[in-house]
Amino acid sequence: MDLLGTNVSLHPRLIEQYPWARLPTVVAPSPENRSETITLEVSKPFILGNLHKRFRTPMLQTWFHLTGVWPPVPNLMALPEGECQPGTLLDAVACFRGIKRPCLDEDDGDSVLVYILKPESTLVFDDRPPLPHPVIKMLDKDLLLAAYVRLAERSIAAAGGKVSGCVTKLETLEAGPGEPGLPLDHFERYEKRVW
Amino acid sequence: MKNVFGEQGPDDVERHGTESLNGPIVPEATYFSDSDCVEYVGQEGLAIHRRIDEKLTLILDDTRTPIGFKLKGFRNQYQKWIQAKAVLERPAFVDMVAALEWVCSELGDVLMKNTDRRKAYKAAVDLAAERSVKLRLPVQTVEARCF
Repeated sequence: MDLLGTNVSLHPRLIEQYPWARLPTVVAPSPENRSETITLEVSKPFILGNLHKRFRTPMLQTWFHLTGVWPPVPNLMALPEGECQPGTLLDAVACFRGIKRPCLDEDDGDSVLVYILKPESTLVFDDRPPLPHPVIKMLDKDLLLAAYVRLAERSIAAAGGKVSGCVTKLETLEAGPGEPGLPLDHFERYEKRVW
Repeated sequence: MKNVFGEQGPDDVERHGTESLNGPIVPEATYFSDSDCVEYVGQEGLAIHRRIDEKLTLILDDTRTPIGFKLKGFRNQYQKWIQAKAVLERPAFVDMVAALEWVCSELGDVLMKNTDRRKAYKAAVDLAAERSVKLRLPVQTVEARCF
């Protein structure tokens, strides 16, 4: 028996009520051939875990950095016009495979892909009253983003053009001092760099 | 709902759901089953993930002050922990202080010999203790254990 199973429960009606909770699929460069693309969905446990805690920032960042479109949320007009635009995983500057630690059934997480993004800004939620709203936040030069991806098939070709896996998380990381586009200690974190 | 791996999604369970997405955040630990980690973040806004080792990541705000932590490979660790008869504070929750202390005891000498790692684990334990961080267990797990 899976002791953890699911610890999040949310009525589907709530997802209908909040359109930003329904994230579109994400296009990413193939790890095997950067000029080709694969299609990913965003992890349901990731979405629902954040909704359950009412955390908007991870959702906003996922929209802003992975889908290429602005999230359908109110009060976006407070953002500075034209300064920042949403991006996608096609903007990734590096891709690693294998996270050198146990992950579910894998002892070393060797099927996990990590796409690295180096945006100048991000979208976060300012929850201070009286009017909580999304804000663009400029990122320090030593920060970057990592999108973790689990593939449904070891071979991309076997997926036959359908959804190939899911984005399990999007995290802000610190870069290495001499390598501004790569995560600190990436040699210790990841098994190998794909491109 | 099933994901692309054929695994059951959490929104099939309609019991004990959040009533509304409006209102303040609910700062409790969450298990993310696709990435097999338990994460606690205490506030909204930018969250910087600083890897400490293969088990722990500290989560910092933009002033680099700890606001949370992530325990990785948690399913494997947790099931070993249960088998070792670790303490569950209440049937419906896992106390994250106890979980972190168990990981520290597993690391043992490795942690004692590395000051930076020891400090990072202490920061996570202090945060979990100060805010009484707990992981809510799924209903079926609680039922299976109680009945």
